[in-house]
Formats: sequence, C-alpha cells, structure tokens
Amino acid sequence: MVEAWQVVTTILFLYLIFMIIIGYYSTRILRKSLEDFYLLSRRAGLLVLFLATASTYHSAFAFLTSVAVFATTGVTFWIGSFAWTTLAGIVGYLIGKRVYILGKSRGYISPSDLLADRYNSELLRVITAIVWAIFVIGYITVQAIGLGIIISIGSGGRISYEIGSLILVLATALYVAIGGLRAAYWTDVAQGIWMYLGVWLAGLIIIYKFFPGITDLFVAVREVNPKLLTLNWHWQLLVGNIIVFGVGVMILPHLWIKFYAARDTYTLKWSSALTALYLSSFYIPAMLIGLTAAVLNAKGVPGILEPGFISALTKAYGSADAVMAYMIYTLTHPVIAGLLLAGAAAAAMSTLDSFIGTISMILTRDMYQKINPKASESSLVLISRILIILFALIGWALAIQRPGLIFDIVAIAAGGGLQVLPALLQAVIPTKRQWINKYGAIAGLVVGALIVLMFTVQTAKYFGIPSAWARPAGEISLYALIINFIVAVIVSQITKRSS
Amino acid sequence: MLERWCALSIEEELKVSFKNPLSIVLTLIAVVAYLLLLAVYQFNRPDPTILGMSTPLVYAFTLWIIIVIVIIVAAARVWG
Repeated sequence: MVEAWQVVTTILFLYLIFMIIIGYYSTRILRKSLEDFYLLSRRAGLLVLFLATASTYHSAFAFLTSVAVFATTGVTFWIGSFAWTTLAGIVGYLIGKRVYILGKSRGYISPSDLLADRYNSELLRVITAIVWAIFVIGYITVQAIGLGIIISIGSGGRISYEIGSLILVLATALYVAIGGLRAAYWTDVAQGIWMYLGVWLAGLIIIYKFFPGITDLFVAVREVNPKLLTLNWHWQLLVGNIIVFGVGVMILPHLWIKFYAARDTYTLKWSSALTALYLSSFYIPAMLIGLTAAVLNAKGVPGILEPGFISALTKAYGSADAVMAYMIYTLTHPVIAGLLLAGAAAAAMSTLDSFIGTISMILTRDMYQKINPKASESSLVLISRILIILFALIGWALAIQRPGLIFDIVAIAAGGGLQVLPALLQAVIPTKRQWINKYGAIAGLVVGALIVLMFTVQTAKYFGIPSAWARPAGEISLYALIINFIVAVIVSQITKRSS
Repeated sequence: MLERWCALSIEEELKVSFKNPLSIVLTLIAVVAYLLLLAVYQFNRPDPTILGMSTPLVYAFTLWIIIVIVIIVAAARVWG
C-alpha cells in the first residue's frame, strides 16, 4: 500500500527533475556571453516576459505567507494586496519602459550599470550593489524557508525542514548555474502557469470541501472572528505596504533586469498589464483558503485537523507560513496534494532562481569585473556560477535559523530595495532641473537603507534601538523613503557646484 | 552629431507625456481610486453585504475592478 507522503514526495521530486531538465535544455542554445546568460539576449517575447515577471514577483510570499496572513489578519491582506499588485503592473510599465529604453540603447546588463552611467559615478554602482546584496539575502532566505516547509510537510515529516530546504535550494542553484538566467526564464514560464493553476485549484477544492458556497464561508468567518472581515492595519502601514510591495519589489534587481530583457515596448506594456491581472487575481483563492483556515482553526475537523492547528504549526516551523502546505497535504488527495505543493515549490523556486542569478550578476559585473577588467566572458560566467551556488547556500544557512514570518522578511528586503527609488526616478525621468546628483543619490540611498535596517521591528534589537521606536517594515520603509528623498535633494543642492 | 541626435531622441522618449487626453483621464481615475482606498476606514465594519462579504471587502473589490479596467484601457490606447 503506497502511503500519501510517498505519492506527494515522488511528485515533488518528479517536478524537480522536470525543472532541471528544462534548465539543462535551455543551455543547449546558450551563447557564452553575459547578455545571453542574464538577459536572454534582450529577446524575451510577451509570454516569456509576462510569466517570468509574474512568477518572479510571486514567491513563497504569495503561495505560503499570504494564506497565513489571511488566516490571521483576514481580508486586510486583500485590501492591501490588490492595491500593491496592480501598482506593480503600473510601475512595471511607467518605470520599466524607461529602464528598457536606456538599457537597450546603452547596453546595460546590471541594474547598477544604469545608475552608474546616468550619474557618472562608480561609487554609486558599488554602494547600490552592496545595498542590494544585503537586502536580497533576506529574499533568498525566504524562498529557502518556503521550500523547507513544503518538502517537510509533503514528506509527512520524514524529510526534515533543513534537508528538504537544502535539496530544493541546491537543485534551483544547479539549473541556474548551468543555464544562467536563461534557464530561469524558461523554468519561470512553466512555474508561472503551474502556481497560478495550483492556487486556484487548491482554493476551489478546499473551500467546497467545507462550505456549499462562498456566502457560507463568510457567514462562518463572521461567527468565528468578525474582525477578520475588516481592515486591521492602520493607514500608515497600509500605505507603506502598498508602496513597498508595489514599487519596492518591482525595482529590486531580479525584476529590474526583466525590463532589459524585453524584446520591445509593446511586449513590455502588455506584460505589465497582464502582470497586474495575474498578481492581483492570484490572491482571491489565497484569501478564500486563508479564511477557511481561520474557521477550521477555530472549529477543527474531527480526525483531521485539531482546533488551534495554526498555533501548533507556528511552534513547529517558527511562523504560520506552513498553514497552506499543511492544509493541502491533509485535506486533498495525495496526487492533488503533490501537484499543488509542486505549485507552491514553483512559486518559491521561480523567485529564488532569479534572485541568485541576479545577485551573482551584480557582484560579478559591478565588483569583480571592476577589479579585473580584462577578465574574459567565460571566466565571468564561471565566477557567476560560483556566486550562484554560494548565495543559495547562504540563504539556506539563514533559513535553518527559522528567522520568522516570510511576510516580515520580504517587507524588510523590499523596503531596503525601495530606497533606490529617488536615484532611479531622477535617472529615468528627464527634468529641467537636476534635483538629485550622484552625491545626493548616494547619501539618500545610504540613509534610507540604514533607517530600514535599524528601525524595523525585527532588526532594531541588533542595533540597540529601543522597541518603542521600532515600526513594521512597511511603515518604516515609507518614512525612510521620505527622508531619503529629502536628504538626496538637500545634499544635491549643497554639492551642486562640485557635481 | 549622430550620437547627440540619438541621445536627444532617447531623452524625448523618457519624458512624461500627457499629450493624449485619455492619458490624463486614466491617470486621474487611477490616482483617485488609490486615494479612495483610504476612505475604507469610514465604513470598516464586518456587516454582511453581497455574497456575505463585508463592506470593506466589497469596496476593495470595486476599486480593484476599476483599476484593472484603467490598466487594460491604458495598455490598449495610451501606453506606447
């Protein structure tokens, strides 16, 4: 008799092999140039660009933590997420188009190329690379956490969180190291389709298993905890999260380079519009699953789910992120559970591959190539491959410390990435007066990034900041951005002459 | 000279333009829709409405539909 965990684990590993094959196949047409390794030779068509952007944006954050946040804070997450996901599509076009035009005409490969060139500052290039490297590690860690949870639950606890995370992280690093971001673009297309179908299928199966219709779900939620049907973030946190996830995530390097990769502006505009639709509609089934989880958490399901199972999962995994994976595993047929958990793994891997690929590019292009300008393209690709493996392992090492809720870690990472915005806006939108010069851009970026790091609830303690001064990442990132803009403009005016 | 001409043409492409009246209308609708989200605090109650959903949820869905329509129309008619 085949047990459920065997079926689920087998499907997860088959999925993994499928992704590695796609990654390997993509290398057969890989030309050994950085432009092809990272930007698909700037020929990404609509389907590839749209699905790569959407699946890269939606990570373990969307498939795992969104359900956990819906289950604990209710519809609040939808009220915020519909705004930031649609804003992400708009930003993708309004900023992305300008980044694309400059990237194509000036041959930019790394995001820092654009800033360094427009501000004529190599120091800005290095500082931006350092800021991104620091914050992106958080994003990589989050995917490793998600993958550990998925395989640990999918194997019924037989494969530990630590080992499971290591297997999936290394598998992802392997196909990116072999095929570069070209492989990531290819796998992202498959993963983008898989995770979208997966979340809708999971939503419909789980809801209709317990409720005859949507109305009954909301009636049950109202009985259990009516507060879940209201907005529970104060307005500063709501606005902060919308800016952080709508703008901050879109200008992180893993999505920035998607703008360079576009074939043309027509592709980019429809990719942006479809991305907004994809990202926002993804959260509808996630909301329904999260609310179902909240009801089942209060009432329990005899013989299957104990009341208070969310607290038990939080104790076991260090956060509530395991709710979605656990519900899929316990409430659906093993074959369906395997396919759906593969969808969850797709969400995490499609972001992880882009991140480790991009951060290796930033460090290769913006650091190593500056130190060793005569390095051949082949040796740069080799260095990139080593960095890909290294960053994947760093992310895993941090993930096994169980650092907390994915939502919070992503907010810090995106909040840090958001601090590039003032410099980016001045670089891509020509103004009669130059409000921000290279000194202002550097000062603003450093101040903004430091504020996010020092005053966020989860990190303040490491800097000796009193907890009363600390704020959630979404909120503090908004304040940091405002201060960043002010510092950038003031420093630019003071240093105008020397600039 | 050619390089200078190319650079000027790129700068021109990068400028924010509202030459198309529809782009002004769509921008205004999108900005107002996002700002109206903050009005949700005025009726932030769990009372049941359509399909049992609460007022803030229905309100958010309405704004979502408006913004999605704006994005699609912008992509079809305004964005170049």
